[in-house]
Amino acid sequence: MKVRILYFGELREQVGLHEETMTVVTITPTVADLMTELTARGAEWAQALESTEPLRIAVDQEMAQPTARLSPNCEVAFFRPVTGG
Amino acid sequence: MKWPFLGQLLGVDVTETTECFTVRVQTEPFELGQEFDEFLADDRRAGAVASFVGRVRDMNDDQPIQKLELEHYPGMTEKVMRQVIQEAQDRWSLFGARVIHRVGPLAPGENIVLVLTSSAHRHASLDACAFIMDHLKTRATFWKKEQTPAGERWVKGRHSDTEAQQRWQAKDASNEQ
Repeated sequence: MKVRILYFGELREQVGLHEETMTVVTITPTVADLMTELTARGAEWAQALESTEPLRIAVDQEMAQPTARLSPNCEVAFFRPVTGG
Repeated sequence: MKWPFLGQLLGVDVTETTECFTVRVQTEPFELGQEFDEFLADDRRAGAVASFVGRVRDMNDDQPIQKLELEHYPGMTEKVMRQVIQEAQDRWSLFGARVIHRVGPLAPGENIVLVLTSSAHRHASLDACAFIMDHLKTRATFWKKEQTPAGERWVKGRHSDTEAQQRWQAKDASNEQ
């Protein structure tokens, strides 16, 4: 299943990527499955996604939990707690 | 309005449109006076207008701030800003709300965010303005990176901001009792 992934702020710098399209191998994947596939890429990915720093996830621009199911061509975003205003 | 034709006769547009509720994300500076005038236009109903301006401080966590870089999630940011305004409209009787948030490089003393709210009487606009800011702080997808003499660092989410948002839920709970 193809998904679009976005990285923002500190996470974007940690993985050295702002945006990508990825084919998820897991059947009927959740966000957690996607994260498992991403962390398998290497140390920077594991450090960014498994850090003790809080992680926030959005699926199709709505806040989501790791248990959320992905749908084909959905947009998944990873970032740290927001600091605007 | 009791006599809608009166507005037409006076050349005043009294129709309520969603244009009274606007959000903007921009790199350019904004000018409070200009936004205030545009926001109110010919609105004679609003007896109260509240405004909040957030600015870049020159110190944060005991470090001098030389520059701030703000990034955001285009699309989601505007969506969250509109949701927050809608929630404010559900709670208070507002005539309008305008929220402007800047992104890109910003220097100490520059404006970051503007919230304007209007209502018939002061409590609705004052409370709605605070509500919108408290929810933007914890939900709108912006991130700040600071440049200090010791180097660059990403600003961390503050627990006090989460508490500020939660006080509105606490108010809801006490109102239901």
